[in-house]
Amino acid sequence: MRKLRKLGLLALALVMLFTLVAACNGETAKTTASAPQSEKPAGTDAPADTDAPEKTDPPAGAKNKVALILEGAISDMSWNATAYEGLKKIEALGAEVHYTENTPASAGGDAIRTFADDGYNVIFLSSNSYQDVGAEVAKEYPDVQFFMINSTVTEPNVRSFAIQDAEQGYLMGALAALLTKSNKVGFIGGLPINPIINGGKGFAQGAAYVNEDVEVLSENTGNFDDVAKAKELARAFVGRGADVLAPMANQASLGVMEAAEEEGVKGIGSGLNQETVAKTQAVVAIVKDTSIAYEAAYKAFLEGNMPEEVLPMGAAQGVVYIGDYYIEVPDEVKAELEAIYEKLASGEIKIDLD
Amino acid sequence: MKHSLSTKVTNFVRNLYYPIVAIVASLLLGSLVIIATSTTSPIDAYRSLFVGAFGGLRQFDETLLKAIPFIFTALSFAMAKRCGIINLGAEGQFAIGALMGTIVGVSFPNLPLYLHLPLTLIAGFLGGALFGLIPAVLKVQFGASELITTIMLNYIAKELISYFVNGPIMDSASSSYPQSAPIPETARLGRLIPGMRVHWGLVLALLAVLFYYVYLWKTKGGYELRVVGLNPHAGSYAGMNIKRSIIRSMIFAGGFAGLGGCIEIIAVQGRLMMTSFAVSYGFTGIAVALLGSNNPVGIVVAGLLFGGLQNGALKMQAMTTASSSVVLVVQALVILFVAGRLMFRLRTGRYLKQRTLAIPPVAMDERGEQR
Repeated sequence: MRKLRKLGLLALALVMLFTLVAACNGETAKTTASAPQSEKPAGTDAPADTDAPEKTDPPAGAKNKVALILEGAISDMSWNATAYEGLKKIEALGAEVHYTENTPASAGGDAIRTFADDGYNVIFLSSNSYQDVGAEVAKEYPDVQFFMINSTVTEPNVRSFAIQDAEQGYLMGALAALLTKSNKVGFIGGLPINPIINGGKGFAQGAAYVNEDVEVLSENTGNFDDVAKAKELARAFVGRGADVLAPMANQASLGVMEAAEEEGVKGIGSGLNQETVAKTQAVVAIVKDTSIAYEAAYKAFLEGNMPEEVLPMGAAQGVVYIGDYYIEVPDEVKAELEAIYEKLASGEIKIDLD
Repeated sequence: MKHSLSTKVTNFVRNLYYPIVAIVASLLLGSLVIIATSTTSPIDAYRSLFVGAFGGLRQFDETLLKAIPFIFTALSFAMAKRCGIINLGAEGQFAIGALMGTIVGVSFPNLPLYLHLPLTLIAGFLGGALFGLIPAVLKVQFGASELITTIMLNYIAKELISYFVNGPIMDSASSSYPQSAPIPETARLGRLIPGMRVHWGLVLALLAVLFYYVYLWKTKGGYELRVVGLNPHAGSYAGMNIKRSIIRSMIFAGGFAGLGGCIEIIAVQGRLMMTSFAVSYGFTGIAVALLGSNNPVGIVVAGLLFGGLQNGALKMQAMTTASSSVVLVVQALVILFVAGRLMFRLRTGRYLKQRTLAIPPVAMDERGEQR
């Protein structure tokens, strides 16, 4: 036992000694690492010469290399699918493109470094989840242009877009309220990040705009990929009397649409092709076509006029729109929804997000 | 028992044979997966994998960085295995170590570094150790199989992390993404060499490996632990306390994993997130320990290899159409081939002789592994 205690003391002493050394070294490392960055004029296209010798900016006329980092799979018929559409539009504009999918926020930094070290000069971060890690790592690559979707960060080399999830939610809520007979409608969100929370707020306000008496059931599943959990939640809402369901949960949205089909209640899609799992109950998709935002961002990059403020991308920009109706819907419902859409696009209706 | 030089050399070569064959076979089978799932040729995919892992100083730096947590979780598995315990809970112990380290890290922002950093590291170690203690106590008191309890505790750890990052330690300052506040500078582990990303955790990992060796082979407690692992009845007959050995091995096993988790957060990720453990550090650690035959040097080498696979996988996915999941397949195959390594046994005279000796199926070899 005594020997063990001695060993423990020795280990403790080692840890102490070690921290002292690490402390000294850590500080010097920090200063030397940050010095060259602060000297560099931020946002210019000067080739990086200090920290990444193998990385060179493409000469004028060479292809831009554009990378897209996705949190989910491009097959999710929702957020990541439209992002991938956006990347294809960028490819059509003459860029060399590549993407990586199913990248959680904790691996976002590695993904950025991999692309940036390999000479990619435009990197799109597809989700609010990457906001903090993206802002940190972007500082290491002042010569790479970052575009962050649904973030509030603006740095010389970081531009952000705010997709108006709230407007999508508003239209979904309004349509749900127009369609409901039980006066109960359900909203199922994914990971409770700001965009989804805003979508939920929009949904509630949209429903209230149409009919004050409609009760809104709203819940988030906590992630974007658990289809089964979203389905269970949707079923529970139906059990509580909801007869129109609307998901905003990327991949997991499919679970909600499946539940709508099986329970025989109406489902409002949040992306194209979600109706494939709810052939008789899917009403319409309120589409959030982020590919338009991606294309606009890249065009602004090519022209070199990227506004500094966070750009909204919603109904007014054509990003949020009402898709084709899948089933028979009364014309007055369609007309009323169209009118609400116009008011959102013109700014007549403002959504309160506080 | 003294070995002559020639037996030492042949032993060394023999110890290398199975791991290398296992890796080669896994890569070959993995190439079938690449052919089936992508348009990239396996040669191109593996080339970008290995260039991404070991192609230059910067890549090797990243590989070292990725190897550190694997070395810790491999030590966790190996420490328990030496005492005859199969610890499948390094995953959870790693997470709890990370959680405890994060809590101490973000809770005392005003402590000076020389207090804060050691406290954080100790919290990480203790968190993992306590989480490793649970299955050990359940085993020695109630005879509950650690195979089941350690696996199940992994889920509890995962839900605990989810609860904490969505509640008590959720960062209220920035986006609503479920994550803790950033670890303050006073609890961060610095970089080892300026300009490189590898951090002091590498030194800690090597110290842990050294501790593993010294404790098991140079102390009485470690000797007892190994005897209990080889044959508990013999240990008990010799007057050793089996329960105490098991508990001790699991405290160290959990502690190693917990320390690894804590270091991963305070040195690399910078804050705890719900997706912090997207790489299954614990289970990869099992593969590393198996490939390294629970041997200190073997663990370091296998850890570097798996760190390289992990690092190169990102590069491969980013540069080719092959998915990084191919690497998970390769890692799983390595486990299979190491566990079933007798399928690669060379049909030499010794093989025939051994077979006629009719080894009982659960006999242990000198490394405490079931044949």
